[in-house]
Amino acid sequence: MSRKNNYSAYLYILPHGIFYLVFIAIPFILGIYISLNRWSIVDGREAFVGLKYYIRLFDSDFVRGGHFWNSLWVAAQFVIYFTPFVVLISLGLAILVHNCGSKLARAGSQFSFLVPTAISISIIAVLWRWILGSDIGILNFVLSSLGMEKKPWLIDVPWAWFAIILPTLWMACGWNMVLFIVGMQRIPETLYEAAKVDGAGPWKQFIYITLPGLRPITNFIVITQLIGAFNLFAQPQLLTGGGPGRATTPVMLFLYGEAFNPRYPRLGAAVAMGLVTGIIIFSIVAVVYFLFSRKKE
Amino acid sequence: MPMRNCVFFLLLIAALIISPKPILAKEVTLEFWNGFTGREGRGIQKIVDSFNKEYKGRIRVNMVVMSWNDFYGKLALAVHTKRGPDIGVVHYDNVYTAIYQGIALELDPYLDKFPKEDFVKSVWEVSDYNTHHYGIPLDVIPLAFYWNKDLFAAAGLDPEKPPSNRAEFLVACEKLNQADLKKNGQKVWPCMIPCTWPHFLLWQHIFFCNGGQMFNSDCTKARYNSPAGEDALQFLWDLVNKYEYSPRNVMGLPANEGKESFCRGTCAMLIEGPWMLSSFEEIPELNFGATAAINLGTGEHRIWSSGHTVIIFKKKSSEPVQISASVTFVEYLSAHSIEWARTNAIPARYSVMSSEEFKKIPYLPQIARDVDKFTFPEQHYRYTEGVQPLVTEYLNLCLINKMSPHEALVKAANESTTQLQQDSD
Repeated sequence: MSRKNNYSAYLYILPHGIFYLVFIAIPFILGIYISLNRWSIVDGREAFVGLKYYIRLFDSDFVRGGHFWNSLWVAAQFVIYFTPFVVLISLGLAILVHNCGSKLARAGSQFSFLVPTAISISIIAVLWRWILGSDIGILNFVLSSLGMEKKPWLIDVPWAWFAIILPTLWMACGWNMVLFIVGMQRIPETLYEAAKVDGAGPWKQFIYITLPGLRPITNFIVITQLIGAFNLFAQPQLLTGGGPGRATTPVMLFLYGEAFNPRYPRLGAAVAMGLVTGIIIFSIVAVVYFLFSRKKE
Repeated sequence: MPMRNCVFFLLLIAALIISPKPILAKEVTLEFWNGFTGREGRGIQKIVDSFNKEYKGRIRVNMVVMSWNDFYGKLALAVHTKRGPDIGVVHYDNVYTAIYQGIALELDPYLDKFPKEDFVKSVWEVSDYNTHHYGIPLDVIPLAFYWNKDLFAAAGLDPEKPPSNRAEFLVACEKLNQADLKKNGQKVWPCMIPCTWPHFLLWQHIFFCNGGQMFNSDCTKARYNSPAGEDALQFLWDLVNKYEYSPRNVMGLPANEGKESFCRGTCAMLIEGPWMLSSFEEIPELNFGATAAINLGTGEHRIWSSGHTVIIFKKKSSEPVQISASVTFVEYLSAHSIEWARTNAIPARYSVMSSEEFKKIPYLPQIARDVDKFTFPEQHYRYTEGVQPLVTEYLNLCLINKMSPHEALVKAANESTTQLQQDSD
């Protein structure tokens, strides 16, 4: 490659580089600085506290430290409950839509599954509150009309998890379905024709051609959904209020309350917790990425 | 002569230009921040508009409205900039925060314009700190008791005579329960006890009626796990789980099922704030009555209250003329709080409360009748932090029957005390 071509390559990555620097690298370094100091909303930096905000997270007597670890566990629970479902349902929908005979039906179903992705989370929350409300919800009305017991969908676990996961799946599956369809369209048709000649049925074609062909896109979807799930915020805030107790208060909701509490904004402590969260999420993502990227022997 | 006149005129022009302070009076512009939207927003805007009209050319008030969350998030920082607010309305429990943050101006030199004896004592005292006074109360917001008159009549209760204490309340609940009323095929419940916010207000109201005190004087130790606290929580728990007068798992915020149910006529009695009045009044078929929250405790009748307070901010850039203009505006706002009352707020001044105009406003005069029983939680800048375990976690866990009232209060109090003894950062 000539030297001139090298320059043009740098030019291509420059826009992303600038954004990366401004919105990721510099805030990250500033974040470390913020977490080592005590801050006042009025007077700015008040005092250097060193690693105090990090060390006390591991002190079992520190009340808000306990809440932090609990909220991290809540986020991890959501990742565990949500990620497999979103991948499997999106894949299932993609298969159905991709194999749909009529072009119009295919376009129509793609559009209808994509619509929830475009709706604001606040509207989705209001909608699902009407459906899942304990006394006034449509679902409980239907259940009681059928002689079944009403469920505390927004109030108690495990139902509250259902109330958070279902709308999130509804929102997320459409987009991931489209990604899977794109992945399927990239698998050469000749592979399926050759398999048919060799006598492979639809199941074997799916196992030996479709799934391996979708591996890169599956890898991408799992990683992005995992990170997205760790960042869960608006659904519990608007649907369950983080309850019962703190059972559905994920780490991002907790950190927001710490950092932007109007009475006691604890920027230093919140950023320290945020950095610890970031390290944990990054480690988990790295492990998952490693597991998914391993080539079969 | 004409030359002398000309020189004099030029000197006068030069003096006007180079004078450090304008010789001709200049209109003072004030920034007024609050979080009032909807009916409240329109009400306060009306007062601001009439003030601007009356003081045209002298003082101009620009009102800036934002969500309360944004308001509190930006307030302290904004006051320290030149373009921040000069005046603001805060909830009573944020007066101490403003004092603590050093942004509230001491109003002692201007108190002659605000006759203390004309204000409801309990809400006036909320703005007292270290022998100084920092805020002018705009209104008082007690917890209110609402009852559906049609459902009362259907259950054989006197629709014009609501219960006034715990015993009468339980009798009313029992009669409503036995009447087994239905509305559009849905069961009518005697009452609704929310297991999320405003559950804390209900509990604290009964706690106050039981004579309870939340914290020790320097707010380092929780005292709410007292017999007063336990009785209050046990009573709420009983209404849901023992007597079954309220359905289980009623969600307060964010769904507000109690209010929805009262609006639909499937809940006969509700304890909520007067802020619900506007919603109830919009439903023509809802025939209801309202009074201040009744005594559901075992002691002297006290009524949980909140309120809005006007603060003049201590801006570094404020000149005396701006502070003086701010005082003029606050005086006007306070004196014209009858307009504010029309948005369903009880004015903090007795003179306004006793006016004929106020008496003509539906429901509010009945709620304001017990004004001397209005009780404000004790003030301390770490108070909100102290009640957090109760508000966020333990009341909820008790009311959904995951914990006994005793266990919930002991755990909450321990957590509150530990937290209050740790650094607030």
